[in-house]
Amino acid sequence: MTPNHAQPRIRFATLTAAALGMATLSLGMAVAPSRTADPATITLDPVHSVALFRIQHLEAGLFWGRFNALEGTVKWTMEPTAAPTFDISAKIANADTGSEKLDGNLQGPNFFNAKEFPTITFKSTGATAAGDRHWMVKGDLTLHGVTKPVEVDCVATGIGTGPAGTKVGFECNLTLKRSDFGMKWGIEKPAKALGDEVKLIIALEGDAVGGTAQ
Amino acid sequence: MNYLVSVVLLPILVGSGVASAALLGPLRQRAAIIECCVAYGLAIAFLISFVREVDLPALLRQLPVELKDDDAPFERWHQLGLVALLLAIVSPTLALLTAALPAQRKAIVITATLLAACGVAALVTFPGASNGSRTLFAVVCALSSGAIAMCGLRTALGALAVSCFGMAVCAVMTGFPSLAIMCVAVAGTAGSIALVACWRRSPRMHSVAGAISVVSGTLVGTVAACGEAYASGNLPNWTWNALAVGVPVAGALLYRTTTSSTPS
Repeated sequence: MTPNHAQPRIRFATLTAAALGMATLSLGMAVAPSRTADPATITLDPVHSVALFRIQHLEAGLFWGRFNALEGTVKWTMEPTAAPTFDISAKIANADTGSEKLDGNLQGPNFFNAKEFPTITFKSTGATAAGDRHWMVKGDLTLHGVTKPVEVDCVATGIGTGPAGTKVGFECNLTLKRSDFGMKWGIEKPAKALGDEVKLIIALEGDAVGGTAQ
Repeated sequence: MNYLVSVVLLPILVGSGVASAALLGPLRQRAAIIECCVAYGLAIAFLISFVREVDLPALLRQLPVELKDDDAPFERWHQLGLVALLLAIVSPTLALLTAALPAQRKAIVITATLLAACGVAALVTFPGASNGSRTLFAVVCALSSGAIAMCGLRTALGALAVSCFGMAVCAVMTGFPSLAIMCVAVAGTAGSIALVACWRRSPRMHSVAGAISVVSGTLVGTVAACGEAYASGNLPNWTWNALAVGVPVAGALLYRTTTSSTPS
């Protein structure tokens, strides 16, 4: 009777191969970078994307106006901790104060000088988390032909479903000095006709396309 | 300093002060001195108003000068200040040249008028500038200078005051208060000098063809081109050029009519 050693050998070889395979696989998993979700591209919906601005008039009332129909894109994975990146622009021609005459003044050379500097742009360069879906976004703001770094307080206000797919909303707050951007008329000359500090509230909504974390 | 004092009254005082010194001073019989000081007074009034309104760096930014901590943008309408500076430099030279070469006065004035008109049209670039708009710019400057050259001193200054005041109103209507302020300063200066000239007539000053016509015509032509380039609202663009050319032409016609009907 011949002892049957072949079967245990096969079992041993199979087990060894399986163990080595498992070890390789687990090693590979440990070494490979953890996979992150691809960001969705959120194209702004001009109807629901506006920037409100507030400035003090004659040291008295706080005057509000808006830039309608903001354009641009936001890239975001839609994960609460991952910061979005912004590339947004507003046309000076879309300034709306509720007064045609004031709109014309704002577009004139004493303020935005729309003939030479027709757009305001913001491009984010980085962000730090400030809470759940809340970030302090750093970026370059180009206004009146001057580009300066600014920090914007941004919150993702919600993710919903619209007729065209996923809708994402953000609200961003920013306060700046217009004199930093070369817009000085009315601050000292004529004295205190208009304030230097401008508060901006930017409401963004867009349709998300792509991404892997939806 | 109060804003209006700084941007309107100060330029008027300096501009009319320089001109009045010539009109009332011991050299008032010398036409070249009056021509030089009146032309210089008009240009310097505009320049002071510009610098007080916009700040000196806006002017220096256009010159080969190193500015520290200056990150404000260059805006094309700031070239108005550069034009006023060039006119302030050119006006005494032109007045002295025409006085030194009386036989060639007409040729010098015509050449200076055309050079100034073509020069600013080529040098100054406002938004939306094209070959057509530059040609119109040069033609308006030349026509305005030519019409002012056909006036007497008081009529020329009166026409300049009315033209600049009209353009100031247009600037207010089209959302350009800085241009309005500068126009009011020149209008006030021209009006003040005209009043001084009425009070103390200078018998030698029969014609303003020369530095005064070149400075006045080039200045109103440049302001008109600037106003037209930046205007917003419903004001027709031709209004600016109509004020720049129409008022001096009306002044010249008025002057020619009244002087030809007045027995000498």
